Amino acid sequence: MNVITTQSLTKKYKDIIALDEFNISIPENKIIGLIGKNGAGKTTLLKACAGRIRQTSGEVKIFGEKVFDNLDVLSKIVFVDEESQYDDSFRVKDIFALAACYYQSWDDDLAQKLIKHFALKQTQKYKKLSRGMKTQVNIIIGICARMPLTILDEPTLGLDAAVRKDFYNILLRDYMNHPRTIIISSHLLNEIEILLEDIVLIDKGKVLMNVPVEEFRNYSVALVGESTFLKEFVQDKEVLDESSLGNASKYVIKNEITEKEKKHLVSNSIDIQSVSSQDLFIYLTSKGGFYEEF
Amino acid sequence: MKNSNYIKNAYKGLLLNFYFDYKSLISVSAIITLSLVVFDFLVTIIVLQFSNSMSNENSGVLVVGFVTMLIALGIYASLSTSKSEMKAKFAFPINRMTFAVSNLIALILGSLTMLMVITMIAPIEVVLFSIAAKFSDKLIYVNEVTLNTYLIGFISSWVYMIAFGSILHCMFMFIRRYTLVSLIVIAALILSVITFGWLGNIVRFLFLEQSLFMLVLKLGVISLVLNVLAFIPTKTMEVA
Amino acid sequence: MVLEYKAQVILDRFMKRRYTTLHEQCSNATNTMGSDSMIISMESTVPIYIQIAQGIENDIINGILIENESAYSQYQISREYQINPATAAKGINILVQEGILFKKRGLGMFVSIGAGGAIKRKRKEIFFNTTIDNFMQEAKKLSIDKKELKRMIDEYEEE
Repeated sequence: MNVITTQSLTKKYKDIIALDEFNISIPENKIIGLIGKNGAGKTTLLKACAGRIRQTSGEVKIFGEKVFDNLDVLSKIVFVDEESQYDDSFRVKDIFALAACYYQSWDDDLAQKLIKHFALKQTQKYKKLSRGMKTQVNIIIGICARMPLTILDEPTLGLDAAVRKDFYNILLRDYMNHPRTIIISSHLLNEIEILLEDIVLIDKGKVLMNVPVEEFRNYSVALVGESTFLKEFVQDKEVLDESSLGNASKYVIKNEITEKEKKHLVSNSIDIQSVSSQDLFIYLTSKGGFYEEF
Repeated sequence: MKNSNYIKNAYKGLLLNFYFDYKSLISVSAIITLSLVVFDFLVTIIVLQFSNSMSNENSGVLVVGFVTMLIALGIYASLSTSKSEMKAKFAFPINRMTFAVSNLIALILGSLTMLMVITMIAPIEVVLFSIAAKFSDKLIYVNEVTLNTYLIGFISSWVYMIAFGSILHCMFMFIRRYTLVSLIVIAALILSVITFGWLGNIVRFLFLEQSLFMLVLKLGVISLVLNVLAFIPTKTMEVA
Repeated sequence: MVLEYKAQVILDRFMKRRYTTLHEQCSNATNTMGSDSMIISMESTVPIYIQIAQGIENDIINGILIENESAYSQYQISREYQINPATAAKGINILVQEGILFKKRGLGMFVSIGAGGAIKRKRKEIFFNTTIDNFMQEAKKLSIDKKELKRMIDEYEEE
C-alpha cells in the first residue's frame, strides 16, 4: 500500500510555484529521505502531506484518502519541524500531557526516558526553552507518537553533532521496534543517508529521483586522470561535472561503465573514484538538462 | 470503531488544550477582580475619613467581576484566533469541526467557572465592608442580594458572556481570514446601528429582555448561530 | 619546463591514489588479514550492503562466527552500525542466496556448514580473476617481466 500518492500536485504562492505538477508514490514502512535545495519544495510537499496546507491543484492522498481536514487520516500523521509549533505559554509537561491525550499510540514511558535523557525541565515554559531544546521537544513528540506516517522536516536544525547522532540512534531503534513510514528531510545528506532506505530528490518543485539509497549512491562515478584520454572516453557518456588541473581532469559521469571499459580505464592509469551522495546531489541540482530522464 | 476513537481523542485533547487556555485566563481575571475589590474597599475607607457618609452596594464585585471577565474573554478571543495560536491547536490531530464544537463547549464551561470564581470573591467584599461598617458610624452597608436575584444575575451573566464570547470569536475569525472585507463590514454594521433607528431596535430586541427564559433562549440561539458562522472561514484555512 | 613538472607531479599524485584504490579493492575482495571485520566505508565504490556481506564473510573466516551457529540479525547490524535495517537485510540476503547463511524458522540467521570453505573458494576465484589480472597489468606498465615477478614471489617472506 502506498502511504503517500500525489497526482499533479501543484502549489502556488502568488507567483512562486513551490510544487509543479508533482507526482510521487511513497510505499509504507520505510525510512525515506527527502532532499533538495532551499526552496526546492520540500517543506511545501511535507506540509501538503500533513494536511497543513491546501494544494492549488492536483491531489494528495494519504493512506488512500484526501488528507485536508480529514480526521481519519490526520490521526495517523505526526508532523515535526524545527519551528516552534506548540503553544508558547504552555509548560513542557503540559505539551506532553496533550500529546498523551491526542495520540492513541503514545508511549509515555519512552517520552519520560527521553525527557530525562535530554535533561529537559518539565516545568519550563515552551517559549523559555533554547532553540535546541524546542527541537528536542518536537522530536520526542514525533518519535513517541508512533504515528504510521511520521514526517520530520529538518528535525535536527539547532542540534549539535553529538545530539544529532543521538537522535538518529534513538529514531533508528524505535523504528526497528515499531516499524512505520518515516520521512526525513535534511540538508545533511552525508549524515542521514545511512539511515535511509529510499531517497527522493526534489528540485524546483518537481521530482528528480525516487530511488533506493544504494542506487543513488552508485548513480555516478568519478574518473580521474589524464585530460585528453578522458575527454575522448567521456564523449558518449553522460557527464555530470568536470574539472581540470593542468594535464589532469576529473569527470563525474553516470555510472554506466562496462567491465571491459573499466579494465580499459585502469590500464590507462585512470582512477575510478566514488562520488559522495552530497556531491551527486549538488551536481544533479545545478545542472539544467536532467528533467528529461525522469 | 476507529472513526469514533479518533473523534474521542480529538475532543479529549482539545478540551485539555482549552482547559490550559482558560486556566490562565481565569486566574488572571480573578486576581484583577480581587485587587479591584480590595482597592475599592481601601479607597472607601480612606474617603470616609474625609466625607460624612457613603453607601456601597455589594453588587459592586459582581459588576466589576463581570466586566473584567468580559474584557478577558474579548482579549482571549482576539489572541486565540491568531495564526500562531491556531497553528498550536492544529499541530495535533484535530479537524475544524471538533475545533469549533470544543471552542463553544470551552466557552460555556469557561464562563461558568469564571462566574463561580467571582461568586467566591463576593463574600470577601461582604465581609470586608461588614467589618468596616461595624467600626464606623459613617459607613452603612446595605446588602440587597437575595438568592433569587443572585441566581437570576448568575444565569443572565452566564449567557451574556457566552454570547459576547461567541460574537467576538466569530468577528475575529472573519477578520483573521478575510481582513479587509470583515473590517469594512463590521465598521458598516456599527455605523448603521448608530444611524438607523430600526437597527437599534433589532439590537435591543436581541439583547435586552426581561424574562430570563427568553433571554437564555435568544442568547443561546445567537451564540449557536455565531459559532456556526465562525466555522466557515476555518473550512479553507491553512495552518502552515 | 615548470608547467610540465607540475603536471607530472599531479599525475604522480593521481597514480599514488590509484594504488590506494587498487589496494583497497584487493583487500575488500580477499581480506584474510584478520583485520577489523566490518568497517563500513562511505567513500568506497563498493555498495554498503555488499560491504556488510563481506564483513560477515570475514567474521566467518576469522572464526568469530561459527558454522551451524547464530549469525547476526539485520537488527543487530543495524544497531551496531546505525544503518537502516533494510540495507543490513540486503547484505544478509546475498549470503542466504549464496548458501553461506540460512534461516532457521523462529531462531533467525545461522551460518551454513561449509560456509568458511565456500567463502574461501569464492574469494580465491576473485583473486585469480580480478586481483591477478590487475597485478599483471600493473607489472606490465612498470615493465616488470615474468621472470622478475617469479623471483619476487619465491623470495617473498612473510614478516
